[in-house]
Amino acid sequence: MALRMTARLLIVLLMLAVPLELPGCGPFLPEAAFHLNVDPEAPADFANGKLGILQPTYERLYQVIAYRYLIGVGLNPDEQQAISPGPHEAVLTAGPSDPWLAARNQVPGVKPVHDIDAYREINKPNFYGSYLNCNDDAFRTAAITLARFRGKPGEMDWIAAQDTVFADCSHDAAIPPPARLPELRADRAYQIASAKFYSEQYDAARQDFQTIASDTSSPWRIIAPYLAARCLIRSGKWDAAVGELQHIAANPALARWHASAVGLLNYIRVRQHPAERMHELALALVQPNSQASVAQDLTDYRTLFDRNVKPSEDDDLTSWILSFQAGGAGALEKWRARRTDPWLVAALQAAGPKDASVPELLAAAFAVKPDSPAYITVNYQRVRLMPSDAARTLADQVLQVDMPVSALNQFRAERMRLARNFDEFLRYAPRTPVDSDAKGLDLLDDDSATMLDRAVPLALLKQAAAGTQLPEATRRSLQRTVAIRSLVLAGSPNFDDVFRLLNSPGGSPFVRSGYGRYTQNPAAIDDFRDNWWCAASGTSAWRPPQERQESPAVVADFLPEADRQQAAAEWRKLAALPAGPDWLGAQTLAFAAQHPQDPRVPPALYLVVRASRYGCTDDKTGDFSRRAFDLLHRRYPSSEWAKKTPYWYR
Amino acid sequence: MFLAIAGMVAIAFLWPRPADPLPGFPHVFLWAWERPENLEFLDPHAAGVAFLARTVCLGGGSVSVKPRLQPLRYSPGTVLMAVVRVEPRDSSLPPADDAAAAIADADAIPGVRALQVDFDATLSQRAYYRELLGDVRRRIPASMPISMTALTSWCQSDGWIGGLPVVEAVPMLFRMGPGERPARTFRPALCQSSAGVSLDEPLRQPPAAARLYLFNPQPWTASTYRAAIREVRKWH
Repeated sequence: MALRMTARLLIVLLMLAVPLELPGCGPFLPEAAFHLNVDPEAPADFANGKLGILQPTYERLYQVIAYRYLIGVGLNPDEQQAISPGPHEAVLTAGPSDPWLAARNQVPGVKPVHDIDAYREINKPNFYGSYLNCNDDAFRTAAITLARFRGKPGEMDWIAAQDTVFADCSHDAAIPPPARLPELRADRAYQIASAKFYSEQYDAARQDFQTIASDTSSPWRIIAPYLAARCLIRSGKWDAAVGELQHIAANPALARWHASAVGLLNYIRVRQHPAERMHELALALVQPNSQASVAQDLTDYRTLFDRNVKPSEDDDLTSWILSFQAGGAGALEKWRARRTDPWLVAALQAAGPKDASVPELLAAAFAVKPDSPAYITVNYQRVRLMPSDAARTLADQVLQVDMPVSALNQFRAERMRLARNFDEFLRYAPRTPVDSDAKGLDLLDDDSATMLDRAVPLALLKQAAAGTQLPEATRRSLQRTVAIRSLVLAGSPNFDDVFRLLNSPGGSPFVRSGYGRYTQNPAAIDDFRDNWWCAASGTSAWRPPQERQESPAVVADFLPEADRQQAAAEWRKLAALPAGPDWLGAQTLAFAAQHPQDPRVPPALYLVVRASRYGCTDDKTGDFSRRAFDLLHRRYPSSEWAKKTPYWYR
Repeated sequence: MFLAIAGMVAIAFLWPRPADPLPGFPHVFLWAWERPENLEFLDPHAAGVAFLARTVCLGGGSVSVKPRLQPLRYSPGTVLMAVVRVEPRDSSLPPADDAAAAIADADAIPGVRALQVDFDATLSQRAYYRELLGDVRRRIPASMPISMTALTSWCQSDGWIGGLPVVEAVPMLFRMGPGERPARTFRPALCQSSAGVSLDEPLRQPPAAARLYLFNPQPWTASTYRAAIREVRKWH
């Protein structure tokens, strides 16, 4: 009875432990990122001029921002707000019609409407598409207009007509009837024109808007010419639209619609004259105080860039982005001609330490002041290009400067590369994940983990695991790695240790980077089969060994020759090590043959079969699994371990 | 000997095969996702187009629809299948019938001959998905078949999709995770008539299926289509 109660309690606890929401795909395991390639870790800081180490892989939005700062223009707070870089929610969180619906549904006696589809499908043969027919402004304007009618005669009539107008957003072509009340006449004329506009009757709508424009008593007469021009755009008569929009933009009486008219002129120009517009945008985007236009200009510029519009030869912004994103192609010549920071950054990026151009580039980089947005980037390149001693001194200086975490990590990586001894290596091996949740938790990046794994002898690994230079979590993990590495490198492994390892699926002789194993408890089976280790010659999702094998030999220059040789000899043995379940199977079967009466043998055979199920396997694992299974059932058929082992695993 | 061979050939031809759940539809469909796609190069007899028509977002107890905003061009006579992707945003799902209405609306797109629902439902959402499909089925004409995409696990290990009111479940044999390989056959009958593969992964022959759906993470071009078809022809 007690057992049954316990089982029930366990089931309840399990139900409570399972999160309500599980993703349909996956697994999406946490991955430590030490610098980002597509966008900076703090886009708002970047937009404020904290560029860190500028990456050529960043999106063009960030290249434009960087260029502005590198030429000294930067972004004022309003411009930063206007472009607001950062992740955007792709899904519609609020409908464009919400302001209107909120106002409309408050009117007593009106049947509530909860959604208006603002998109309309395009009905053309052999074509499918849809577009945003009714923009936010339409719904906002309707809400404001409704306030004018609240409590007055004709309120319900006006709302009914407006419902008809907005039904045309998605599919209808209904037109409100003419107004019966004189006080509704002008507004109804506007509603009728709007309904025609949204139902794609552009010629008729245009005629109506022109009539409204000439009606001096209509509150809509000022906007009407602008809407008449929009009818021309919607019907594809762009040349005619340009003439009207230019007229509006030049008419002081229509000042309220100047900016909108210019916006539409630019809309047409992007489509009619993409190369010319791209050049205009490249010039506009480097102007200060552009908060009114910078967001749309950036959108248009990036759109044209994505369409591979051929840039103008004398367009510095575009040329620089093209060069910088292509690894600095042609940048040296441009820098020599122009001597500007953007081109210095691009030329430094393209340079190799032995290039003849390095002295002049380093001299120019030296002149960049600490308060320059280029300072972190050019000094990172200086460290990369300078001779080791000078680079080391410079890296130590710059590491004292406040900079983004990603930049700090990259400087640490360079400084680790320049380490003169093991202590220095350990000091710069840990990095900080850029993930804000993980701040303060330093981990090993791939370069530092690979160096420890392949180029550092076991004796020094023990020293690092016992010392205080590495972060505590990394040291704990390294201590386990050292213990298992000692075991697998031993000529005749102690079975006590083998047995312990059989009970420790998180054990591996390899050093791992990042967050390591998802299941933190080394004694627990990992649900994603990250248990024990994979053969260095095999394949695995968790530790791609092909990359390690194909990568050049890893050598720790900072170690004495004897240590390097010792590390290489150890790595040769580790590289030849079979997958964890195979190694454990071989050790257990050998011990079982020699010590059939040892009480640990039956559980060990059970654990070997378990390892073959949950561990990283290869084409030999099934053989060990079968042999352990056979021996367990043949020699210990009535043991609890045999009963717990109904299958073996290929 | 001759009789034995003749007998084997006869068995091979006469062995009952699953009836094509989409008779008259092409045996290859190109998935056209939310990007400008010009598929006018496509021979309408050779391949159909399953295009993302809309995304139905479920969250906060309500439905919001994100329509396709990128143009899709195709040849006259192309068989069209409207794909509706369903994306739950939180655990507060709206009434299934509300979501079904948003999905079923896609059947009104001119030229569409079938609907395909793409919903990576979690374990806890399966009952909801079942109800949702039932509601969609009731809302659209019986002559409009419903297809659904399926995570491979639905077709090879748990079989929860049995009895859903759809004519086929298309196992998506891509983005399966490292080291995973699809089974040689799929047990649920719904999974046996079609398969989906992606051009950016090594094209492995899927389990025998009458109909293939090809996913391309890039816009389709005549050359990528021809290359895919060359590969596919090796399987049959």
